[in-house]
Parts: sequence; C-alpha cells; structure tokens
Amino acid sequence: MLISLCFGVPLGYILARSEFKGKNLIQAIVDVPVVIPHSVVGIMLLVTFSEAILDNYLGIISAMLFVSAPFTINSSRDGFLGIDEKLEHVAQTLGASKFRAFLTISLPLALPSILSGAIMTWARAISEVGAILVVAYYPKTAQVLVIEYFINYGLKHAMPIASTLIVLSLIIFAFLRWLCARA
Amino acid sequence: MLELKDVSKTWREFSLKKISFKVEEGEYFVILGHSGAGKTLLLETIAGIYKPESGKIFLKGRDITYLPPEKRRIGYIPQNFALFPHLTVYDNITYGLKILKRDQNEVRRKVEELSEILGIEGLLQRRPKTLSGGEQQRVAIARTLAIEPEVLLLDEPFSNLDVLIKERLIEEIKNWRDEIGFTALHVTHDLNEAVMLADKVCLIVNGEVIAIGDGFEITKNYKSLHIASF
Repeated sequence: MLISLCFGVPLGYILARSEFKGKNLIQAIVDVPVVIPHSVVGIMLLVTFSEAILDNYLGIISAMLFVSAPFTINSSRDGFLGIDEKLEHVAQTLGASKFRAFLTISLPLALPSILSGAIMTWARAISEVGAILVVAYYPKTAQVLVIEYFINYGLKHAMPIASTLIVLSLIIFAFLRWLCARA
Repeated sequence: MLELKDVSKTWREFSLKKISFKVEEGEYFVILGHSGAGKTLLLETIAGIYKPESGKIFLKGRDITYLPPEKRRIGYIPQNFALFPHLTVYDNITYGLKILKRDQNEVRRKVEELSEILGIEGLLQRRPKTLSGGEQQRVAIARTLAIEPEVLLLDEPFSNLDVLIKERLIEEIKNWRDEIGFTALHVTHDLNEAVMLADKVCLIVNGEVIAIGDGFEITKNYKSLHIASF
C-alpha cells in the first residue's frame, strides 16, 4: 500500500492534470492488471524479471503491487480531477510554487479519494493468490497456505486459517476506514 | 505600469491576437467583451498561468513574460473566487502571507485591517462553503490584497451575484480603491459595470482589441458593434 501510494499519487496527479502524447496508452497500462487473469500477471512478471523475483519476498511484493496499484492510481486521478484547477492557479499567484500548491491545496482536498483507493489497494493486495502462486510459492503467504491446506487436507483443515484471515482482514479494514473517515 | 505588447496565445480552438495595451499605476482598467471573447484567457496569460506564444508583458518596466505566477506579484481572482474550501476564511487570507514568511504580528494586523475595510470580521473562522456569494467575493479580495500585489486581476467578479448586491459591491469596490489604492484589471461582459467602474475600458472581440478609451467612447463603439451584429 505504501509503495503504491509513493508512485500512484504522483502518477494519478500527472494523469489528471497533464495532456501529453501516449497518455491513453499509460492509462491502459495502469488498468491492465484489473482486466487480465492474475495467473497471467504472474507469468508476465516471471517473463519480465525471471530469477530476480522467483520464490522470494520481492516476488510477493511485485505480484501484490502489480494487481493492486491501479486502485490507488485511479482513485488519486479521480480525486485530483474533482478539484478545480483554478485553486492551484490562485495558490501560485499568492506565491506558492507548483509543488507547494500541490502539497497545500490539491493533496489535502484529494486525500479522501486517495485514502479510499489506498484501502482498496491494500484489500486487493492481501487477497491476491493467483499471481503469487506462479511467482513465489515460497516464502509461503497466508493466502497460499489456505490453498495448500485445502488441496492437501481438505475443507476442515483449511477453515481455521481462512476464518483467521477473514477476522484479521475485517479488523484491519474497519481500522483503515475509521482512519480514512478521520482524515 | 502593466504593459502588453502584441501578446498572442492560442488555447484549444481559441486565439488572442496581438493584444497591446497599457495600464497606469492606480488605474481601474476594464476589459469589456462578450462571452468567448478571450477575456479569461487574457487574464490568465497576464497572471502567468499560460505563457504567450509571442509578444511581451512588462510590469513596472520588468519583463515578466516567462516568469512563473508566484514570481509576478500579480493577484488573480477568478470568476468562481476559488477560495480554498478546506481552510477557514482566516487561513485563506493568510495563505500568501505565510508563504512570504511575514511575522505573526504583521499577519494579524493585516487580517484585521483588511477584514475591517471589507466588512468580514465576523467571518474569519468560517469555511468558504458557508458564505454567500458576496461574502466569498470579499474574502477573495482580502486574500489577494493581503500580499500587496502590484496589479489585481478580477475575472467577472459580479457575474454570479444578484443585481442589488452587484450594485452595492461596485460602490464598495470604488471605496476600497480610494482607501487601499490598488491597480486593477477587471474583465466583464456588462457595459454598465464597465462604465461605472473604469478609468479606461478596452473593448475586445474574438481575441482582438477593437478599441480603448473612456466609458463614453467605448459605449459608442459597443453600441455600433451591437448594431453591426444584427
């Protein structure tokens, strides 16, 4: 979630505010992970990065990031699109640099959208299985462990881990929503 | 004081064509034109939001054509006032002063002075969305005047206000001008508003300056233009 915020918010801002050649292509690339099967995402990542991401934490992070980042990018873009550009222009005429106008005006106003996207990013990342199964079976994540228990020992043995995951996710999700509402 | 020399700018399908005029210090200069005549694009080019393709803009003899907006010392009030909705009225007014790193006492004194002149003392802790159109306009003027700009740009400041408030505000602007003393460039499509406020009026049609003169001269031009268009 933090990684996707670091590059998703600036990218969302650029997509909202700038007109340039290839913008539609970049937008399409951002949306690709949402529309293709996640096992295919895993294969794409393996073909691109091969050994570097195979069966390690980097592989898990890459898979989670690839499938979930579109939520932060698109929510940030929509958040910035909803803000009148004139607010930034006026801030600049009052002496703020473009960056300061972004930090003090656009960012706080787009924050609810950005946080909402970040929560969805987190939710999508922790629910990812397909791409992780292909890229990094080990070190084993909880999601992969549920699948392994289900296949090897059946439903009864998979249920405790699945239930724990549901409760944990619910608590974290509620906490993040509460944080978002406060912000 | 503010001088434009052959300024041209194309934005989407619209063009400003070789705009030239001069605004003297302390003058209230009104740009009059129909909707779509290029008035807002012209103001935003002067404010530095857009860069002209050709021509020069001078402020007190200094070439500011390619300076970014934050280095121009030109205040800009757009049609919708663009108050920062997440900040209180006080924080809106002090936004520019904080960037200029003015000390606390000076900031407080400036806010007191402006809010008294503009009659917004009771609104300082309110959020912009709770204000009426007239109140928003006063706050926008206070916010811009706080940084003591060389020129104040006003884009159709009365367009969203009803007639009674508009007439009162026109009178008030004249009073504030006498009290504070600022140079203003005001755009409008309303001939009466232009005549009531302006020291000098510039008539602009389809991105071109047609005439510059006092209210009386421009009224003649404006009427003949209307007749020609029928």
